[in-house]
Amino acid sequence: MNEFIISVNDLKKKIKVEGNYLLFNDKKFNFELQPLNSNLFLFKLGDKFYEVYTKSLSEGKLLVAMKGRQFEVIVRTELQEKAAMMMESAGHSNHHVEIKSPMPGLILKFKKKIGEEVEAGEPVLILEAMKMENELRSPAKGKIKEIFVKEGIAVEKGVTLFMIE
Amino acid sequence: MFKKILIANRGEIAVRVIRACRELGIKTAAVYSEADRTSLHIRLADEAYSIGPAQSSQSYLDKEKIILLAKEIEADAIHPGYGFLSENPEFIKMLEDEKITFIGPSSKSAAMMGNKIAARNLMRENGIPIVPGTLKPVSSEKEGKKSAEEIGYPVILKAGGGGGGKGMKKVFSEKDFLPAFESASREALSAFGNPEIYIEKFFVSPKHIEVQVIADKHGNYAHLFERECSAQRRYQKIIEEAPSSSVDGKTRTKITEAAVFAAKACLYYNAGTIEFLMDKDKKFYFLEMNTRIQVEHPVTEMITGIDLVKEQISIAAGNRLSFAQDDLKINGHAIECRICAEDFLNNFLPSAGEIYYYREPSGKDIRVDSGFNLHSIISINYDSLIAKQICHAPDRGNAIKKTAAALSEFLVAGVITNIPFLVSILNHNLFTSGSYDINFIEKHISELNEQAAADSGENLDEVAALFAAVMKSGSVPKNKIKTPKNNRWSDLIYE
Repeated sequence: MNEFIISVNDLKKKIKVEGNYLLFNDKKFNFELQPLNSNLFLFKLGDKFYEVYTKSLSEGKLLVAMKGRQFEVIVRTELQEKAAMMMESAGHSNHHVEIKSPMPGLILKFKKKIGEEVEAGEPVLILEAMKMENELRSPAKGKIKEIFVKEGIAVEKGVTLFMIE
Repeated sequence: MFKKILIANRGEIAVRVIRACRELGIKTAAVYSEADRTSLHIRLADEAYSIGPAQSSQSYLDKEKIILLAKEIEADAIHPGYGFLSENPEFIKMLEDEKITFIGPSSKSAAMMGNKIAARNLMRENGIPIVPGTLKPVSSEKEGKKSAEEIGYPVILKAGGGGGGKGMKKVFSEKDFLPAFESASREALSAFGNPEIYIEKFFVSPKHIEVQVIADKHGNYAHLFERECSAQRRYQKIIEEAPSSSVDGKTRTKITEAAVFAAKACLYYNAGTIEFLMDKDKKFYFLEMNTRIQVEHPVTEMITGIDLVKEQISIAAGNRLSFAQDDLKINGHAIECRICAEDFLNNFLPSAGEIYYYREPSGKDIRVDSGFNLHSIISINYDSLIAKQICHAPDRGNAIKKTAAALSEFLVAGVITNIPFLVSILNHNLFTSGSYDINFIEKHISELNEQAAADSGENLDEVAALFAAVMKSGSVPKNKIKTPKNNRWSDLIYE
């Protein structure tokens, strides 16, 4: 089956590829694809060409950039999507969310302590990068279970900073 | 004229200076840190010298190292760009002692304006209205709270050591004072090496109006009209324009007069900018003076036809201004957009990394000043500015349309940019009507973000999803275009 579940910016879209057609939201689009090099494509959708840069990222993600936008896209078949959903809900059963550093920077200050309650969207720590202080917010409501880094240290991108229960 | 200029900066402003030097027939020496090995300025300069690790303190801010290099390579002048050492009186003094020309003001003028608190006092003594607030640095939390009480909340905390949004914090009530004070002091110390903070009244809906001034070493002063930079987020300007649609002829006469007066008060030569806040009644208040070329200088160049960087170099070499005040007229309208590597959907966190793919817009009256190119790396060590797009048109309405059209041509892959966010600002009715103020973006941030996320109706996320599905389906041709049989035009050939 050429049917896929595509996640872009946390939104899922169901798309079917049939020959030269794409089916999405009950609409049918004609497409063409012309590779310019291994990363660069001319993608024609209906009557419009898009110049698309793409690159495989870690964890099965695909970087897709066009015009002034850049997306990290996950493409799964329906079966893969079901498996991923099951894994996710299994992961959620112990109710832990790990928050990773979105960029390299310097940990300036923790605004919360271990054991403190946080609301979703509440600032937890200040990370300095590009000469600015950036607030990192909690993605979920819960309690700070663990803090893995100290104030004053530099962290790389992807380092686990703290855990919410 | 100079034979060789060392450019003590990086990014787009280093490129801008190189271009001016090349036109003037002056050799250019670029400097670069480890993090800038792939930047554009080192590809364009006649000579390029590695000056140390990524941390600015050990490269672009290392005064001794830069002066030693200038002597060794026999550079007779240094252009500081903006930021880094551009407003550092100590550095300028060292150059004066070494008889290397600093392309900027004297160390004395820079010192008079560099301390923002001293500058406020100087302006007040000269009868130029200043924003109400403290005239001395705030030494403690207790004293600060007392001053804030007297000024009346809301207030804004600012760094005495320098401007540019670093160390600025708004405070709406007494209970928020302490964390803001601490954070402002920290940022001020790290940005300027000086934790001094002063307090100003926070105006609720002012416009940011600034005047470009220029003066030579022979006592000739001129202004190049005003710019409006009210489109700001976290005190960082995002879109700038010249002239301001809110400054009428009478106000323009008054504000430009005040600006030239301010430049005279500090015995200024070089290009400089006097920043003001302007309220609804067109009353204006001095904010600060920037004693260097400004990021947004191109909009002024577009409407006046004057090359400010070439003029700076010529003034430093001892020449008179190449024009008189009466030669200048405002020609049309120009808008600059700052293309920054930041993720507007994720609280504007900076987005660092390699630029995998890059193409700039072009066309009539479209200018792009950028510091990076294919495979350049946007480093976490410096600010997030990738490029500036400047468009010029006969009037403001057309300048806005041209700006949006040009932005739609930009192609950047590898880092996330604010381009969709810029487009959503340009489309907003408060921007198009010209009635926006410095709190416009923060007030309408969710609305602007929503528009940006949907690419102002273009929904590129859907296109990305459709593209990804095609890639996954395996229907990617190896090298030949996949021509659909049902293309209604495929049998027709146009000649």
